[in-house]
Amino acid sequence: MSTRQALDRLTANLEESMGVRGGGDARPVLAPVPAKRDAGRRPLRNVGRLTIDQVVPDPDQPRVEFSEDALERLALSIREKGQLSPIRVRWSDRLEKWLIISGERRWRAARRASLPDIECYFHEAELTPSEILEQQLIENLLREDLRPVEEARAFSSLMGINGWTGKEVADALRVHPSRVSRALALLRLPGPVQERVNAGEIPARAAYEISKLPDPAAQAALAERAAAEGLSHQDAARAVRQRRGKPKPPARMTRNAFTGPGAWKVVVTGPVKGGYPEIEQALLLALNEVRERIRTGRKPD
Amino acid sequence: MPTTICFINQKGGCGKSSSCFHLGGHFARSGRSVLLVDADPQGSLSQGFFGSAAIEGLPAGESLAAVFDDAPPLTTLVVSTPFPGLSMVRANAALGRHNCPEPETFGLKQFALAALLEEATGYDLVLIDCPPNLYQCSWNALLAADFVVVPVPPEDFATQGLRAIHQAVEHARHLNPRLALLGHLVIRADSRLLVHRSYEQHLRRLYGEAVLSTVIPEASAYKLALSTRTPVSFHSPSSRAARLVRDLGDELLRRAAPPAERRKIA
Repeated sequence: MSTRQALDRLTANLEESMGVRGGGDARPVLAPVPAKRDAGRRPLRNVGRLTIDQVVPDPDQPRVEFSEDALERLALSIREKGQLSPIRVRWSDRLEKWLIISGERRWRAARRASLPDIECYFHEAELTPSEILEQQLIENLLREDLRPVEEARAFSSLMGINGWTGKEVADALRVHPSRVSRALALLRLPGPVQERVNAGEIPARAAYEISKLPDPAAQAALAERAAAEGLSHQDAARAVRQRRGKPKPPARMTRNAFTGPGAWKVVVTGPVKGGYPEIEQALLLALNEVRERIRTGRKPD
Repeated sequence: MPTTICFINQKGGCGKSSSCFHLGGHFARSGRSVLLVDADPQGSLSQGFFGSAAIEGLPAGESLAAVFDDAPPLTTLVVSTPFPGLSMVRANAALGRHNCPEPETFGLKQFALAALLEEATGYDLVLIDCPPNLYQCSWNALLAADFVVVPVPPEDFATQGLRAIHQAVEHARHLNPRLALLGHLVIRADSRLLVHRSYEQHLRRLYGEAVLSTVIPEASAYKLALSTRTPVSFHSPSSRAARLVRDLGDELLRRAAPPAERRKIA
């Protein structure tokens, strides 16, 4: 029998090897059968543990104060229930340690709870100083427990690092621009007043009103009163208005603008309220003056 | 993101590693940035480039085995080959410990390679060489890849695994919905053998479009190039063997392209 004849008679064998099965229903499992719970899962590759002394706080980080009480409570919780979420860290070539981007409080509490190591999310990509500050701020702003002046300083450093306006800081951090401008106003207060705001003796909103006073001595005096009497936001605003006196009513005057070709425009102003006859007079005088200057070949200012 | 293709068959000696070796060389030589991933504990592909002694002595932490232990960044595992544009993640026997049966019971371990390759954004192509079984390494490759190529010599032992492979691709799609079969590659074919011609005919009749039209023959040029640790496109660029690898590369890219781009390439 030739090879061809043999192969022709073996067609069924060839096809069986290649996957053809008779019978239909029977379907043995030949390959892994995935579990439904695994659909859509992915491991995070940069999460792990670090011995706790490999981690240090970021010397440039905005948070500076921690309440002893809160730390003790967090330490207790970590000792009993473990660390519920990893802290974010990045490697510092300068310090040869992992710096905390966010989670300094959890780290302090874990140390207090004498844990040997801490769960971390390792931020591998290079971060600019602004990105680090942004991440720290976003984390803290979301929890709303950053002290008012700390928050203001952080906004101010972001503006310094990036040359941003207050509005740009607000956009980057997704907060309302008024929150940034109110915070920045606190930095205009004398140092001791800022400390009392941070300590919670003067509400941040009242302090914002106080910052509207132009004179630091007046700011300090009102701050003293605010702390002693517990002035509310409205009280402080009223006191500021009284100190500054009533604003002068706007002077009555004339101001009219006329659009010319392109972006040119002509503005006529006068010290008293006037009508179109006076405006016409002023324009005619000006026109004559311009023509005179053209005639004498004088250059415009 | 790169196009990621895994080469898989349950049977050994099908030409999975050779396909990766020579295709990787061809793609790199034609100006693409290519990452080869050796997912086979036998380390054949790695030895093809770096020699057996170097690969046997490779610390596990520098090989693919590390993704199952410590999840280091991709950049720490990638090494350059002597060929410009061709980089590699190597493997050796240390990977064997992780190549367990019933990979679906290992939770997040199934996605270790997928997570690693999410960092491979700088490459045009990633080619994954799988071991001759459907354990953890091949399963990881199926969950990490966009496409599957099944190299299959046209004879009995090689074709016996097809049914399991098809089922594996179908099952893997539950966890990796973008996975698609790019085609069966008839390889190591000897056109003088009636048996080979007959098997190829049957394959095309059974699987039609799912069989690539390029056929890679058994040719000494491939083996010679391999023994010089040089992909055939670098070793003898004008040979018929190199031309067929180029045809194969073109056909794979054509099939892998999204429908809108297919006309442009053709």
